[in-house]
Amino acid sequence: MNPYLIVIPAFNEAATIGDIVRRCRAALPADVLVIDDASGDETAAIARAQGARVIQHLRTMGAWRATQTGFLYASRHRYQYIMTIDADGQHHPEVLPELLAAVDGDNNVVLGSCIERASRLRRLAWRMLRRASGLRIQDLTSGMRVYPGDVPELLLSRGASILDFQDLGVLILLEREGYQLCEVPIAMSEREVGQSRIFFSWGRVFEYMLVTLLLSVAKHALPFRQRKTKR
Amino acid sequence: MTITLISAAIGLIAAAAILYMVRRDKMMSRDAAGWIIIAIIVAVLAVFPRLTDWVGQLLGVGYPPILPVLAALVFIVIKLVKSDIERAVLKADIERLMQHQAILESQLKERENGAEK
Repeated sequence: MNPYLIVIPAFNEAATIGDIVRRCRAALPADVLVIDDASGDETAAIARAQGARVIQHLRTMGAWRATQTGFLYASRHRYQYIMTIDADGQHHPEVLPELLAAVDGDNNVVLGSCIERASRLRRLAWRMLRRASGLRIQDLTSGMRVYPGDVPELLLSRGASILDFQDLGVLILLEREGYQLCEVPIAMSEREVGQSRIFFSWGRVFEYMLVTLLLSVAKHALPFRQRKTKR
Repeated sequence: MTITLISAAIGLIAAAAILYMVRRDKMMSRDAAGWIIIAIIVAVLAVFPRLTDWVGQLLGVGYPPILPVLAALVFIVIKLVKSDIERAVLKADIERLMQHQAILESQLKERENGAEK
């Protein structure tokens, strides 16, 4: 039974998905699962041709929902480690073994972090969000992560299912439930083609900041007792 | 004076309640963002009632206190229309899901029958 699963959420990534799947399989003896978030292009077919297992959504639900579908699959097949990586070519699959080596204990979530890629404005935004949320993570939006195998239970809970984005809310949830977040500096590329699904207009940036700030403030650790998240 | 206090309190309590609901995973933070902006506007208008008069003068409205009421009505109508649209999307999604699950189940039955033979 393969202990490693690599989950790749993808939406219209036909240009890059084949290469990413191939490089993932070369980097690790892992099962590669592509969640095609109802793409309009050949993403699913290309991924399948490269040897990935592909699950296709009926309708586009966003990167976080796609990742959750991966967790649902993982929970059925009892993997020991679940890794997530973007399909757009930003992340290099070759660093996955390095992230995996950084796992220390079974409550460790390892985040590949690259703050150099962020513009000054985005760094300012991150600093604000760090202050609001109390998280001590440098790179708040990196989607390259290694999760322990028991994490689907938490990340498929209601609290995780009403999140709009996969970054801060998920990190806050993980930390609150006792997972240890640890960052490993890695190299990332600029997006090769297409554009970010979150940051493609100023309106969306404003919406993202407002929603995420609100979430950070609402979820900020209070000095009094914390109730366990409902499963 | 009293009305100022009451409206300010309503705004602040509403804002706190929304934050609490997000904290307890009862509300999506995207929906909450809209509500919290409304709550803050209510609190600000309560503390500075002159703002309404000023905007009324600017727009040439004879009876400025109607402005917040009008704005509230417009907001509610927009919210209702939006929720109708969202409901339509949800309905379409659920029905699509049911169709897919019906097909899957029939395929499963066929496979089971095939195995029995």
